[in-house]
Amino acid sequence: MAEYRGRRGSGGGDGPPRRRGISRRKVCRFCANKDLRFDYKDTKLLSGFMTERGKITPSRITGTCCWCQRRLAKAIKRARLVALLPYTTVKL
Amino acid sequence: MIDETTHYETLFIVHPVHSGRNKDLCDRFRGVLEGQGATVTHFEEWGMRDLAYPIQKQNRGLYNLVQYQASAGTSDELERVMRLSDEVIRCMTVVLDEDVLPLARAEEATRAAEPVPAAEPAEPAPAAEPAPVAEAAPAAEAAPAVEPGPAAAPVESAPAPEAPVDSAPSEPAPAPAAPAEAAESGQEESKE
Repeated sequence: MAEYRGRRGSGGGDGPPRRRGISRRKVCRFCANKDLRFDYKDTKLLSGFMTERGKITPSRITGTCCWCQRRLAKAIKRARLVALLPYTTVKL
Repeated sequence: MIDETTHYETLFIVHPVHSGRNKDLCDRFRGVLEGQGATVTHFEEWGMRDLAYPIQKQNRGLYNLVQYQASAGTSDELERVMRLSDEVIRCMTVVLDEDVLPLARAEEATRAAEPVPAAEPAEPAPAAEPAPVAEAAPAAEAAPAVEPGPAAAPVESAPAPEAPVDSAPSEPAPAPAAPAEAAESGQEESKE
């Protein structure tokens, strides 16, 4: 019975075990350090919030707050426009 | 007439083929701005830089940055002139705000931030010297403030010469304890 229920995936209590590891709370770097600015010319800072392929890293990964993430994305898009940062690193 | 000016920043990339005419281009754009009644606050040539992606089949470009204070419409006119010229391969105008600071101010901020350790002790000293002449109370305050600077330096330098002096007697001290067995003491020291 138990095996049957597990195969169907309908068992509420037999779902995947919850991960209860120690997770460190992510902090928005821009809120923590008020000296940081969303300057599109600061490519060194902005590239730290991009993946290797040139995509903007989601805030759920970096811990950037919503307000800062919007301004960060704007700065990265400005830097892309003037070819300071790439749209993508994949060569066509 | 109401003076409603805004601080703008325009970054433009000059085609590398026309790099020799960069000066002329900059003068031309500066003339356009001043002709529109704008005040150029900062002009910076970044020089030849690699582009993150090719523009017009070029992998390098001459970056130039101009910051100016102008009324509405001036930036549009500048961008129009830039787009019409073949030398400029890309340009972008942004309004300066709390994110993108005026560069002159940004430079001052960096200058103020960098030489803080060196400049602070030097700056308060001259400020403190005239103050005591005028007022006695601040003199007492300024005096201890100035003292730690020079005092700290000698303190740091003092242990340095003392250290060898202290270590010198300390080394002979164990030596008399075991004068005959120099080899053993040497071994002990090496172990220590």
